[in-house]
Amino acid sequence: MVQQPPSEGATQGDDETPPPPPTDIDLVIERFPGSFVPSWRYADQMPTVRVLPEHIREAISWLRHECQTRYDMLVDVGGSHWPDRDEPFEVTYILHSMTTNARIRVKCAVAAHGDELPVIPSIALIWAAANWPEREIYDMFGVEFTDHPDLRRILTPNDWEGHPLRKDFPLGEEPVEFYRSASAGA
Amino acid sequence: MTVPFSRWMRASDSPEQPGAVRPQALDAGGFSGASGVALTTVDRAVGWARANSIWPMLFGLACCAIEMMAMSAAKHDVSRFGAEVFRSSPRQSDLMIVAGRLSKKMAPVLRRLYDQMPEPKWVLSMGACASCSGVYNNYALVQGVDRIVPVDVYVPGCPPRPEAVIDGLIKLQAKIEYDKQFGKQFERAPVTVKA
Amino acid sequence: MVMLEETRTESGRMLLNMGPQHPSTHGVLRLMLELEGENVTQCIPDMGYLHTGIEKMCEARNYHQALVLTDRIDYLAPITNNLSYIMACEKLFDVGDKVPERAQVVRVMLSELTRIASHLIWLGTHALDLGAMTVFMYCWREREQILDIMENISGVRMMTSFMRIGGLVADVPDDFAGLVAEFVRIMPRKIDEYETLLSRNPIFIDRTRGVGVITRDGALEYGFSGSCLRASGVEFDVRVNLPYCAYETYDFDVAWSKEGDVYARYMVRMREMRESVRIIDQGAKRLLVLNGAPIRLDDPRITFPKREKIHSSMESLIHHFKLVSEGPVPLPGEAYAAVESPRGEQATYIMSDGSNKPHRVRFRGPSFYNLQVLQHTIAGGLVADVVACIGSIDIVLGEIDR
Ligand code: SF4
Repeated sequence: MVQQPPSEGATQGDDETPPPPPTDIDLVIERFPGSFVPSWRYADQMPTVRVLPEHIREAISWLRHECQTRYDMLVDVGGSHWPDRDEPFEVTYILHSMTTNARIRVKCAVAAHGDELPVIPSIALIWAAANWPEREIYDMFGVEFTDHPDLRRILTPNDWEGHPLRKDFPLGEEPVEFYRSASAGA
Repeated sequence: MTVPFSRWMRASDSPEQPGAVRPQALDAGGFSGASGVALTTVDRAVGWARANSIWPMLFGLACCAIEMMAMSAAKHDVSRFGAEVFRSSPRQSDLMIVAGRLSKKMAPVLRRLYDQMPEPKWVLSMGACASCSGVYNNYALVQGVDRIVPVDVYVPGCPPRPEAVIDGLIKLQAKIEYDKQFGKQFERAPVTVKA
Repeated sequence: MVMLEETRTESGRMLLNMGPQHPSTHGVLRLMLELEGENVTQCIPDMGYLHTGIEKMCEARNYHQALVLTDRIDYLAPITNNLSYIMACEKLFDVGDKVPERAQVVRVMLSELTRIASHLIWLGTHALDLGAMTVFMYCWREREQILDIMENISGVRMMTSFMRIGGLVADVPDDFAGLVAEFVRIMPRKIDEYETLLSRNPIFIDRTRGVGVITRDGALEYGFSGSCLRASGVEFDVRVNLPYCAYETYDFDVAWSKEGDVYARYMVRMREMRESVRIIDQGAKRLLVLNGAPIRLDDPRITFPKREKIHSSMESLIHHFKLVSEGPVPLPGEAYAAVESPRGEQATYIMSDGSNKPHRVRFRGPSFYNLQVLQHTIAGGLVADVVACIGSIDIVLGEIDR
C-alpha cells in the first residue's frame, strides 16, 4: 500500500455536517449515539454516515420506516477490508428513496479479536434483500452476521478455506509457462 | 449429407497411384460408379459417419456460451456441418464443448458429466478461459480444463468468433475421421486452431 | 459439491436437483426443488458455479487494466458494465462532468444497442424455454446485426472494452452512422414480428399470465431493479431517476406495468426495446451535429497522449510509458456509480487508497438481487412454471457469481 488513508477517528468529522435544515445524516447522528460522518473523500457526493454496529439494525429500520425521506429500497450491501485501520472490516449499506430519489450510505465497521470472526448484527430479518449480500460478505470477508436466517457460504464451495477478498488471501496466480513454438526453431 | 466421397481417401491414396481407387468411381449417391463397387475399410466408413454426425453437449458456462449459441443460431448455422443436434444430456452426446470459464466449484460437475458420456467422446475447449483461464489467472478458476478432462481441440479467443469454433469443429471432424475407430485409438494429440 | 443423497423426504416429497448443467437455468444455476406431485413446495438456489474472482482480480490490476475484466461480468451487456466502472473511475478522478459530449452520445447509443442485444437473447431463450423455437432464430438474426455494429467500431463482437476513463478509446468509424440508421429503420418492424409470434399466442399467454407474480412490496423488499421492478408497478429507472450521460435530455418513456407476472415482464421488455430504438435514433441525430468533436478528455493524469505526439515528442513518449506501466493514480476515496443495465441497476463501487490499483472494487449485479425472490415465487407453483420464472427474471450468472 502506497499511502495511508486518513484515519477515521471517532472524535472528528462532526464539523463536516452541512448547515440546517437538519439532513437525515444529522438526524441519524442525533438518534444513534456514536454515529459520525467519516472524514473521507466520497467522490460520488452521496451523504454518508457511520453508525456503531449495535445500532445498525435500528438505524436501517428507522431510515426505512420512520424517517421523513422514506428510504424504501436497499440498493446494495457490500464489504471491504482495510487491514491498516483499527476496525478493518467495513460493511456499507446504500439506501434509496423512491419518493425523493435521495440516496444515503450507512457504514458500519468492526474489528476482529484474535482468530474469531468479526461480528455485525444482520439486517436480513428486517429487510430480505440483505440476505444474500450478507452471505456473500460472510463468504468473502468472514464477517459473521448475528441472527442471519441462513448464514452459509454462497459463492465458494462449502469446504473452501479462507475468505478470498481479505487482503491477506493470496490472489492465487499461477505462473504462466511459455513454450517456444516448434516453427520458431530451437 | 453433402460430404463428397473423395474425402474417404487419404492423401496417399491419390488417384495417380496405380491400383488406387479413383474418386470418380465413388460418386455421391452411393455405390454405383463404373464398377459398382466401392472399396474402403470398415474403419474409414465408421469414421466418416462419426465425423459427420457429431452431437455436441450443451455445456455453456459463461460468455463463450453466448457465442456457442450464436454458432447454432441464424447466420452461422452449424447444422451445415452436421453438428446442430445440441443435447443437454451427457448420455446422448459425444462432443463436449466447454464454453467458458470453469470454476473450482464447477470442476467436479464437469468431470462427472464427462464420465457419463458414452465412448467415443471428444472435448472441444472453447475460449481462452477453458483453455488456460484467460484473463483470470486467480484462485477461483481451474487453469484450463485439460487438468480435468482430456482436450482434443483448443479454440482460442475471448470469446472466439463462431467461425473459429466451426473451424475447430471441422478440425475435430478430420481428426475423428482419420482416427482408428476400433481397438486402441491413436494417441490424441490436441489440435489448436490458429487465431 | 453437495449432492442430494436421498430423492425422497419422510413425508413422501420428492427432491429434485435442477442444474448446474441445465439448459433452462440460463447458465450454471442450481436449484434444489422439493416436489409434492406437480407442485413445488420448496426451492433452494445454489450459486457460485461461475465464481471467477473478478473483484479480487481487479485489486491486482491498475485502473486501466481492470476495465478489461469488467466486460465479462454481465456478458450479455458488456458495454453497460464498462460504463458503470468507467463512471465510478471518473468520479474518483473528479472528471465525471468533463467528459466530452460526443463521447457521451456514443456511450448512450452503445448502451441502448447492448440493451436491445441483451433483451433479444433474453427473448429468444425465454421463448425457447416455453417452446417457441422460431423466436429464437429471429432474435439472433437481429442480434447479429448489432454485433456487426460492435465489430465495426471496435473489431470485437462482444467484449469491446470500448470505454476509457474520460471518454472512448477511439472515435466511431464513418460507416457507423449508416449501420445504425439501417438498424433503426428495420428494428421496429422486427419487434412487431416477435410480438405477432408471442403477444397474443394462447400457449404463451397460458404459460405466462398470472405466473410468478411479484407484488410491488415484494419487489421493494427484495431489492429489485430494472424491468422486473417496473413490471411490478414501481416506476424506477436509473436513466430517469438518477440520470447519467445526459440521459435526461433524451425523449423516451419508461415502460412499466402493474401486474408483476411473467407476461408483464415480457411486455415491459418489449416496450423497452422500442424505447431504446427511439433513443438510438436521437443519438444518431446528435452525432451528426457533433462530427469531429473530441471523444476523449485531455487530462494528462488519465488519458494517453495522441499517437502522433508519441511519435514526435520525447515527453509524450515518457508520459505514455508511465501511464501504461503505472496507470493513473487517484486520490484516496470511494465512489459509487450506477447505470441502468438491461437487467437493472448495475453499479460499481470503487474504493481507492491512493495507490495505482483499486483497494476494493465491488460490482452490484442486478440479477444477484433479482434472483433472491425466485425461491419464493417458485415455491407453491408448478414445476412447469419454474423455467418460466427463471427466464422472466433474466438472470446472468456471470454477474451473480462474479
Ligand atoms: S474466454 Fe473470454 S468470453 Fe470466453 S468465458 Fe472466458 S472471459 Fe468469457
